[in-house]
Amino acid sequence: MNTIGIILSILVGLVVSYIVFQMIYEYIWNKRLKSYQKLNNITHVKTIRYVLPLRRSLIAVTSIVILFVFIVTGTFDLPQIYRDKQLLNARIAGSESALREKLSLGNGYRIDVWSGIDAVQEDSVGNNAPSSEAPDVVGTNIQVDGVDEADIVKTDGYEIFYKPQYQSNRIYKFNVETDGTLTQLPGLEFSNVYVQEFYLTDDYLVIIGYKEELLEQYFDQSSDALMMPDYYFYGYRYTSTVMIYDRDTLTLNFEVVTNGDIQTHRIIDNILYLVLYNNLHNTGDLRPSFESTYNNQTQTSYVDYNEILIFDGIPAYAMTTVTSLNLDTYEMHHETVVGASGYLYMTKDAIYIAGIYTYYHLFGLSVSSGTHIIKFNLDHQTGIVNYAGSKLLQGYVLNQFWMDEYQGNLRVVTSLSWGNLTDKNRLYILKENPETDALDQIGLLDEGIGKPEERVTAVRFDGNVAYVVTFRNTDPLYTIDLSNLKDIKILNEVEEPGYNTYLHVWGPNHLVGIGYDANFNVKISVYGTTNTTEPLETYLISQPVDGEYQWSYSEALHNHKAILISPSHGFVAFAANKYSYNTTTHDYVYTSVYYLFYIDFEGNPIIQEPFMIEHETTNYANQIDRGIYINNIFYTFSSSAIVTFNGTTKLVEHIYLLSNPEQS
Amino acid sequence: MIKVIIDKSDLTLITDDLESSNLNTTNLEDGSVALFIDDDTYEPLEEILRKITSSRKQYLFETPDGWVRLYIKDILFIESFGIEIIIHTIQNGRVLIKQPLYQLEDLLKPYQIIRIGKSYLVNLNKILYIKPKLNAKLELELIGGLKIDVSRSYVKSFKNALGIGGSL
Repeated sequence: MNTIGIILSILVGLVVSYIVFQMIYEYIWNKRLKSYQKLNNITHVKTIRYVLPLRRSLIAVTSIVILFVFIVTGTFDLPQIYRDKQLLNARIAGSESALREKLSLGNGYRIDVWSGIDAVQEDSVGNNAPSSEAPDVVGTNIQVDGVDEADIVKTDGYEIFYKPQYQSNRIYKFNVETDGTLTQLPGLEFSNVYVQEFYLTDDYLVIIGYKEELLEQYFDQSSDALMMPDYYFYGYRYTSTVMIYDRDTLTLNFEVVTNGDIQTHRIIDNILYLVLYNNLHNTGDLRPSFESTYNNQTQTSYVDYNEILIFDGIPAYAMTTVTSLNLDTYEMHHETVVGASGYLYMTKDAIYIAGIYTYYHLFGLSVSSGTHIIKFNLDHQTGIVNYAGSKLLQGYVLNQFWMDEYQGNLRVVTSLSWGNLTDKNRLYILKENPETDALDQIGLLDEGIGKPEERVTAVRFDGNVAYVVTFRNTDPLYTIDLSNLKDIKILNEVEEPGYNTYLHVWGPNHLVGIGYDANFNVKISVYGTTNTTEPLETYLISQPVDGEYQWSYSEALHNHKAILISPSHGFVAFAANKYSYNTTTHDYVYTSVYYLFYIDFEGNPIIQEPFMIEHETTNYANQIDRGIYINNIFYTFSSSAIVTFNGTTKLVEHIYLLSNPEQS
Repeated sequence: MIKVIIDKSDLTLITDDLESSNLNTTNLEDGSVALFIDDDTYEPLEEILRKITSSRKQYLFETPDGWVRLYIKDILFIESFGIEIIIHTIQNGRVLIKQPLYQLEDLLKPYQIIRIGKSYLVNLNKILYIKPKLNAKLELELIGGLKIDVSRSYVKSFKNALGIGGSL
């Protein structure tokens, strides 16, 4: 019990003692009076006194009840210590009943935010200079150097692994010969696994996916009966799984199946970090469970209730578990929090989870979006994940790029709340408190980001500078100086039609943006970030043509991993789907094209006319998924073929047809 | 055998005593009561007569306008307010008199009117209820709902006046 609790208990004790003492004292005095009256034969009309004793009893009982309620609800409990931190925001669940109690409070308006599994950054799997030994590779566009993100195509320059977007049961494997040609090697084909994404490390192929089980009924031990599963879905149950294969022999070394849903993940060195989302059932064990299989032995482990943290005031939409899995030793560590789920941003030393939820104000008159930021610290030696702190912010976060850590401070941009156009866009700067589980706010910019009613659509940080795009009718791109936390300034504002959804920093004063043009078709723009009010250049994927309507769309608009980008090589590339309708011939044409833009801020034009790489058999189910770059050759992938494009001759070199059983 | 006639105006005073004493009584035509006393019932009669005497006790007080006669049994409490001495009574309300409080205290002590504060005398027979207060004073509720305090320094003498011991 804390000091206030002790003081209040003493006070209540004193009040109650005083009242009891007073009543005894009063009784004795009136007893004397009665003796006196009896002795002297004095008779008065007897009055029965109700009010005074009743009032006193009420005071005593009320004081005791209030104190009891405070004690039972834990208001006076001393702050818990967890992982050497004083818990101000979180509480240890400790038991199933405590967790269930929280869940029962948290039921209500439910939002499931599916971040899916997205993420990419610059020059992931190596951005090495060309040499005879290490291939020059541009692979997955990851956010943070050294923190790898999974994708559907991965390469180290020697081998390529590819899983077509819409054929989730197969992984192709190719050897990259010295002349850049590909030799197909035996790959993987599954009957009951849907591969979502995978990682390629020096030794392993790490697959993240779903296991499909035909499960019309199961035996429930507690009720001793065959039951219909409560997450029953057309007779199948899908369970998240991680499979570690030897990348050379493609033999399965280790497999873990969890009752949680794998939301997102990263690999640092040889440790895989997973973020799981556990739906909260009213029945069954609430704890996240992990069934690992290796050497033909299966073990099940659970997250202990003492390692599950709950937050008062944050809705219990989901149980989010951060799990580390050592790819060599298969050792696992977990940390679980109950709250809203959302997006993951990971640096080499920390994981930040932004949980998004909506809450109603008093009387339900207005609605706001809230973002609950939770920080976990990582120990790469042991793989242990530690809860470090949390903070509730106003507004919502839309993807991982809206968060960034620089010199130990987390910078977060939040957009104005849904359903509340008078709200503001904000930029927060937070710092972890060394003593408690608070993330202290050390900087805030809540004026000037966007015109009224404009939402944030894209954010990118670069050291002490933040770039923020907002949109309602036009697209202002703001350059914000964060070097002085007390005086965060907007340095520059560029305005243009349409808006960006992805920004990439191209050297100190230049940006490349991918987004929507004024007609909601795909565009790419280049910007100077100082002393300019317009984009330097813009290229529209759907060029206006007389007598034709055009639409375009690209996965790159919402998934940064669909973008192949390298400022050091001077190119940006992504696939886009184009639809055109000829008003004279009434022809309706669909094409999937891989656009390769060379960008040179010194040149004229800056965005050179793109090279368009097409796959012959493209149709709706067969779009171009990805491209990678190895030693000046671009490899583009669709489920029907791999088409290579030579960066020197600027010509298509080879077309490797992939067997496509679904089309044959 | 002695026959004692009790006036009807005194009957209410002694109803309880009559009931508990097994005295032979006869109601007379004018409303008064005749008691028949022998040697065994002499004690109750003494008590009855004492009560009647006490209730009929009157006292003459000097007021600024002359003299006033008050029944002792009518006095609730006496208060000094500056140089004014006020007697609060049941029948006559507030009566302003000229006699100093200390004289009244000596005068009225035999009739259970005692001092309970620097400027208060109270008639013990008029107390309905005693309520101890937080500041160690006692609050007395008198007939008619009036409330006056017993000062800390007079609590002991008040207790003695009630005539019983005890450590409180």
